[in-house]
Amino acid sequence: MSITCSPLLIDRNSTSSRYYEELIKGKIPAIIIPNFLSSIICQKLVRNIITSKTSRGCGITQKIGESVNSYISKKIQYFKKTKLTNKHLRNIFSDIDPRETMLNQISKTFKKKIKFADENSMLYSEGIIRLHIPGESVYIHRDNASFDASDFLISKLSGQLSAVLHLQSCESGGELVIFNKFWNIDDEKFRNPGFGYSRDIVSETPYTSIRCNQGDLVIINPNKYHSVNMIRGRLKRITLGFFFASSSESSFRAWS
Amino acid sequence: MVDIIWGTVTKILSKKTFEMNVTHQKEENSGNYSENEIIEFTETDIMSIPVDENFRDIMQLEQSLGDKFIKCDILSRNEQHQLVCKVSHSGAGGY
Repeated sequence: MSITCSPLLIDRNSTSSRYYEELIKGKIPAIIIPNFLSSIICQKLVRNIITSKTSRGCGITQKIGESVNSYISKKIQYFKKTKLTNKHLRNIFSDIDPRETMLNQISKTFKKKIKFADENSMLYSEGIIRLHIPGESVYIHRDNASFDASDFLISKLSGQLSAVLHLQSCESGGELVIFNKFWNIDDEKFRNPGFGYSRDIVSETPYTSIRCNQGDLVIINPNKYHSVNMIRGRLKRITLGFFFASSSESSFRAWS
Repeated sequence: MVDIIWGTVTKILSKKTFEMNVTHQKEENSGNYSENEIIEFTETDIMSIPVDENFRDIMQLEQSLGDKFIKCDILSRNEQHQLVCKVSHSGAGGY
């Protein structure tokens, strides 16, 4: 496999509605804002996270927050559980809330308003913290709420992107690998029963590899196949992420 | 233990039957299953499919099941050689 074009590195003041189009059309594999959050703040947040209760989820052994795809046929449970975990997340981020900083940055970078989504006055999960333990990797997958979560209102939004803030880097490994291939409905025959897709789906596909650098904010089009390499060393790879998509010409809604 | 197969729905045939392309099978399955099977479903966890068959229509089933990767818990084979199954979502293609 060959390596495809590099991610676009921008600073916090760089704004353009063109960025969104380029990610949606797959012209760039990712947008990275390096050092979006300082190491001191990241470490402070990590101290709160590692002493908090985690749960197991779809494709991950430790997480805080909910993911719609773990509740595809259990919508009521999703919103019930989300009510609790949103409180849990608010407690973890009671001093500094990086989600606010992320939302403000996304709004500025893409020139659109953004807020977390709700359905019938019930809030969607306001982000998810993923703790990837050493020895763990994330299998090849794509994230597509329009197809997977058709019973949820967020499936009606268009142009889904993913924002991930790296809170703790692992010692080695843990790179995010983005393949230059969009998911197609015919690919469903390559699905794994548990999570993700067979590796055959991306054989010979060019890819980009992104290191997990503490404090970096990474925005990708998750409808392109992606995976996370095995985490090596003693430290967990800790990220905070959510999806966002267009609800109108001028606004986004976010969820996880 | 019931036999389990996984695959994608290729065609809706009626309010309770569809064609399926079988891509995965449980290793411990006792029966043999073809690459293409016709499924009669008695139960499903897919929320948008009404439990009562009389409230279903083909278009609605196409939207809910068409091209989806699903899991079938096999209960029996009926007289038409169709697999009678409990149908559910299977894992996730992503987060």
